[in-house]
Amino acid sequence: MDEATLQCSNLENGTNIKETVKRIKNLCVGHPAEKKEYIQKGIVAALLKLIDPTDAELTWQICGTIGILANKNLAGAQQVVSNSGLSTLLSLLSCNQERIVKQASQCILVALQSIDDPVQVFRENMQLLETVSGLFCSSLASTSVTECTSFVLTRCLETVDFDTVVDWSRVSTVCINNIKSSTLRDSTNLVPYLTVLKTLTTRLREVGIQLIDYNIVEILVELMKGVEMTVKILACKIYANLMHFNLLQEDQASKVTAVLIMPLLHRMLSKNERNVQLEGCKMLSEVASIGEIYQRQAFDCNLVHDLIELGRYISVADVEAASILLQAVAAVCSLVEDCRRLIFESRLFALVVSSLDASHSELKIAGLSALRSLSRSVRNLRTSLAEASLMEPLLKSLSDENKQVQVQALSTICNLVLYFSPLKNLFLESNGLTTLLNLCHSNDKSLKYYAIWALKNLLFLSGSKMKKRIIDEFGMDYIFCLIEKGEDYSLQEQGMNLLRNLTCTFSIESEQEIVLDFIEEHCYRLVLCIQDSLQSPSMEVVLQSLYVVCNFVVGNERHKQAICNSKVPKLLLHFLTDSNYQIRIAAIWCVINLVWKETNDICDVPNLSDCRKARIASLIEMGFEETLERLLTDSNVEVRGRAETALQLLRDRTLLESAGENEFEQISRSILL
Amino acid sequence: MPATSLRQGCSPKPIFCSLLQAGQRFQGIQNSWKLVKDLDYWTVHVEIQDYIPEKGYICGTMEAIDVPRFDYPVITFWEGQIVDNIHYGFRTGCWEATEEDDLRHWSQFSAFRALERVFEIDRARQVALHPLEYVFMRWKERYFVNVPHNCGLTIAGFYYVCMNRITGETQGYYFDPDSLPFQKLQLSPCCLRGQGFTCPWYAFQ
Repeated sequence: MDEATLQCSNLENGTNIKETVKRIKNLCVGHPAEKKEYIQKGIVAALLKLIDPTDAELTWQICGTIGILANKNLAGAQQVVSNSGLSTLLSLLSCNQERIVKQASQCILVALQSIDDPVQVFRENMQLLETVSGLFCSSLASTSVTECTSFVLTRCLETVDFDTVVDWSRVSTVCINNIKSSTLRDSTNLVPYLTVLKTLTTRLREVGIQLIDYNIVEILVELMKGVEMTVKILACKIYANLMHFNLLQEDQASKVTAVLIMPLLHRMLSKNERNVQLEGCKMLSEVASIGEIYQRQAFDCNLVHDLIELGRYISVADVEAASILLQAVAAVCSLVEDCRRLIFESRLFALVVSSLDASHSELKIAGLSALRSLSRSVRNLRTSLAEASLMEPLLKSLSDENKQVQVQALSTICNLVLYFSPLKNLFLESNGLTTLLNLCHSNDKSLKYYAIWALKNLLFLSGSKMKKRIIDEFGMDYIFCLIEKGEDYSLQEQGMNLLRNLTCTFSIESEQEIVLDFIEEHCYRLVLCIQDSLQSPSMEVVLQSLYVVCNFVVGNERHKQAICNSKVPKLLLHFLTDSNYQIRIAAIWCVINLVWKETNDICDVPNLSDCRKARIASLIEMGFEETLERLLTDSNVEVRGRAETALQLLRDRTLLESAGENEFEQISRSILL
Repeated sequence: MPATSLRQGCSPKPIFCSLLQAGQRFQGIQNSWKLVKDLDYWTVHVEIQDYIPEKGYICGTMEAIDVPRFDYPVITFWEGQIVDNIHYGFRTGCWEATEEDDLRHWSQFSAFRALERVFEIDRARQVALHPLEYVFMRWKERYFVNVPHNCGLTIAGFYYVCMNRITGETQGYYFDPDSLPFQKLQLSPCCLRGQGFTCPWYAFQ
């Protein structure tokens, strides 16, 4: 009979149980093969059955042995958490023998840390979580119990699955009370409470409010100034979570970030320990994503250099590290051009490019996210991002089976299809437009939204040919439906922006853009659409709609009449007195364009002058003259100036009296003479 | 220019102007006086490609047509600073421009005359510029888009620019210690020369 079988047999027989347990423990420590053998023979379940709270010594030995069997061993750990093992061990945490409590806590901790999904155990048995929560909140809980239960609560808190099971406000109150009552010299004792609060404040704003109400913020700042690294990091994370929820005054938060958080992150990124560096990257991502001021601080504190230095030792083969690093790049480069410049000048940009071809979705998403941040700049689009090699992986990502990859790729393409981006043509030549148009019809709301955004950017300053192609392949009906549905203001805004770019034509010297057939064909519906959108409660939709009016009526008497025959003029009158100066300016531009003195008309309408006079008379009768006069004393200088221009036109004092000779020729002659 | 606009104590705010929005185009001429009092001038097209008042930033392209010795237009990409007294003041502080250079060039604009006295005190740093009828800017050409950098033309300097926010009429003076002084740029907005104001729009994701 082999040793393992013998020992198991002794346990079953009750022969020298304590000695047997001790022997099993000694045989397994440092001997993985023996450990595996005992586990396969079901030793864990047998040991759990022998736990006897009345025999402290035996119970202590059993807990220790089970801990060793479960430590970093999946099979052993699973045997602990199943078969009511966890329940048995948890019951030991309330016994009055400190060493049993400690041993049992350790045992539970190592078992949960050794299985793949510790949260699943509690999903299957919510009662266990209630027990854990009760133990954590107990005023008699020892340090080991607190550590063990805080681990469980923290893991479970990361999802919403348990929000109705546990009284989180009770848990957070316990954490707050313990933090307030402890001295900062014993800050390491606060780690379990800070860990729970960190996770609570990630998701739950009300817990953040609780911290403010109980004046915990000052304590957090003091903890950040301490020497204990784990405590500093946890305090920083909680503080960052409060910032995310806009619970802190920005001027105060930015001072704390500049003086305490950024230097801490610099230390973490510079430390020669992978886990600490990656943790630093994650924290930097969280803080930088809050706002531009923090990205600027990251630049000023040389954290971008730290990321670049870190990138020297990370390749796409290290999926986890590369993903975390690239997400940090995405965050710091989101709004600050200086940060982008440093990335382009370094080898880190090569990591961004190579991640686009990665097979792991997580890495691809991070790379695309970084690329998107880097592309938010005209200069970069024209230069550093003119690389043709970017387009192929981007287009491939549009058809990726992972939705997040598609979304990130699409949102990056929104920037790359702009007029001044050299990659725009490559996108079109690679049949990107067809893919884009298909995505506009996606059932996925995010994909649809970004696809329309990309389309509107693509139409920015596009010529008639491109506009016609898109209308032919896309259909005006679809655009109108987007806007008319009116359920989603963000989609409506994009739809109106699309119309704005479609209707925008430019006259430069002798070049005259051809008014597209589509406008004539859908004139009536377009006017109705504009009319409805101008009544939207969304300021963004209204602003876009006003500029659609501006663009729509330029150079076209029929369009002017169509607008004036609708409810639009009445709405314009109302917008002239809007509280938002941008709305007022846009409304005045609409008036200016409506009464602009045309010298010719795209549709060759006869009696242009008479039509204009009639329109002016109608607008004056509606009250435009009085309203514009009041705007002559507006607080905004552009409103005042444009109102004056509009009044001059209404009163038929033309801006350019002489027809024929243009102004530049006049200036040129005066210089030459 | 209203007297109240120079009142100190009014906090500076970003300067918004619809004629500076992305997509707006300007046309005009740039002239320079040769040493023999002969005038060179060429047609210039400017296109605004980005305008972020909250950052005091503007950029675009400049296309110079009929530049002496060139058979085709020369295009440059430029980036600008909007003098808003938040991000940028009248003092350049870079590109080899001294404060004397700054004063000498800004003084070329009649719109600046009201600010000269304040400029001499503290570079007009305390003045809120957003209520003024004029926008002051510096435009710095960054690179040639369609010609090599050793094409014989220089973009080492920058333009002091002043634009009337209502009419869009824009003047600029090129400064480069190694080039002829006061080369003048004069631009008008294309939209107001045509059939009305048109305005496309894009946004970065």
